Amino acid sequence: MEKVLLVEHEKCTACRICELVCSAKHAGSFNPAKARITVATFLEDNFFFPLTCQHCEEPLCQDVCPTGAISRHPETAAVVIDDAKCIGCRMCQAACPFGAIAYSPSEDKVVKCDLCGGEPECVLFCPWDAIKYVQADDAALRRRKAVGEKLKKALQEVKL
Amino acid sequence: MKYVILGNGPAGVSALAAIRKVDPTGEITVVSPETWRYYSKILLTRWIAGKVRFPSLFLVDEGFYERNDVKTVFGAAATRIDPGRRVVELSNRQRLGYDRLLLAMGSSPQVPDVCGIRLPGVHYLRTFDDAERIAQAASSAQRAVVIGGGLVSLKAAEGLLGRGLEVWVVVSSERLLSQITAPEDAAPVLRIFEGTSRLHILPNCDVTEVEGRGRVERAHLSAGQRIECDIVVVGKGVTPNLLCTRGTGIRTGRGVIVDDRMQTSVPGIYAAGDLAEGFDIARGRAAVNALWSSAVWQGRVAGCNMAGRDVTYPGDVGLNSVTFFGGCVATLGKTRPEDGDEVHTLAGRGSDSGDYARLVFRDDHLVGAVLIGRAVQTAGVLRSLIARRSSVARIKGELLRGRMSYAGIVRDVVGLCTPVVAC
Repeated sequence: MEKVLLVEHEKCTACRICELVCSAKHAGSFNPAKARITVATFLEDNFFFPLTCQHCEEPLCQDVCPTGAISRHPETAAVVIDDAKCIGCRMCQAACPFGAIAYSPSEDKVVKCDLCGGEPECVLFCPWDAIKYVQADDAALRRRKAVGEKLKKALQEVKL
Repeated sequence: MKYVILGNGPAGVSALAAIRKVDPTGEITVVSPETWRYYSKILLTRWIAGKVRFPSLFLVDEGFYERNDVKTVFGAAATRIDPGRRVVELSNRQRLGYDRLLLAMGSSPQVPDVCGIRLPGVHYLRTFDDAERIAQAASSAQRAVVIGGGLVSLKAAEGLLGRGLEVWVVVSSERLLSQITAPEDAAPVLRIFEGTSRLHILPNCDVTEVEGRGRVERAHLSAGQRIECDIVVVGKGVTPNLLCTRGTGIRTGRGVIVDDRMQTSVPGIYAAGDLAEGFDIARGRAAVNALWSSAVWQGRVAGCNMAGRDVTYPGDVGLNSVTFFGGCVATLGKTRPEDGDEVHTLAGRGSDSGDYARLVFRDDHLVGAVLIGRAVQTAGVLRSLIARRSSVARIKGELLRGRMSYAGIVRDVVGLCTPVVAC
């Protein structure tokens, strides 16, 4: 069965260890600017939210990519970018509703979470268990859906 | 069921894939005047510059059509449609019967009314064959004049610069990218292109004549100058290919008029991509959005409906991302404000950071944005706010502080409902 990243933002303390280990794994340096995960921190509200790719079922980024560089990994089901095909045109960035795709000026390519090939570094190192990598069973999907529903409800409220 | 798809670009191929998913046995034929399998037009300028190899241009492998049990008629265009008999006539004299027809022939470059514009050495950039001619000409050329300051012109200029040519970009407007930006964006947009060596941008200027003995030798400008050049590339916009819709009863405006199923006024005939007037959410009306992403989505919706699924096209938001030697400007939705719109400009930290964002609101809705530099990172979030058509009243303050992350929105709409642990 596929596995998914489950973020429990209530547990996040904004220690940003996930950013450090992510950048170390993917860019070879402890540099949050090069991480594929970002913790949005709002200190005044005590609200912290680790943000990364949702590996959408129907990824908009894949639809808009004009070079066919974005595909789903056959094993991990992660939405991944083929470096050899990416031209850094940044259409995917302009399409991703989560802002989960970053641009790397040094390589002139976009980068994003690839679930570390099935062993996400952020999950291994999060001291608070705020990011989990779990079987995409009913319980996990329900929990993910619950966060989405909450958001949807709030947005509908805003609409009134 | 017999399907005929006119066009082998993103709209046509997305439709093909959608039809095949819904109807595994229907007979599908794809017609294209080009002889190449589905490839990326966006990559052509990079191929000219030598940054992309030929095989990388293609988005499907050689076995794609056969594997999907799709017949191809390449090298032929539709010349006439007979909706009464449900037959399409092709330029190779072939006649194809159909139950469902998709118009996805895209658009063609506009030819400006300039003396000498038919001289050899004047090029357009639309297809791979065009790109190949430009690349061939560029191999022995040193100086190029590019007519137009839009997306295609600037990308063509980038391609030619990449081959070592000196390039003059002649722009009628007072600014670059005038179709997708507003006058107030002129300076920040120009900064992306300024300082590029061997590139000369000439605003407020037209090419009045292209001259040469047997082939292009120089261009005369309205300002009185003349530029000696070996090639001219024209990028003055595109027009939808509507020729074969004449006399069919298919309603057209600037493009083909479609309903929210992408069906034209003639039942059984659908349209998608550069030639269709799809619904534009930011403008609140149908419009021709000649964009790769719109073509993909419209093609998919058309394909589903052609095969019998009932799928509506929710509309789209104009979405452009123009990169130029590492610089980038992204434009979303309605960038040119109309009366009653509210505009906010946010400059980045430090005046020379190059970061820039201009947001356009209408009532409590975000309807457009122009983003440069690091602000491009937020484009996707803003696009979804525009597309959602919901009020942004509660998060407007956040947006204007330049904190346009998804998390910022989540915090404002959900976060406050989250229990805060007291220390």
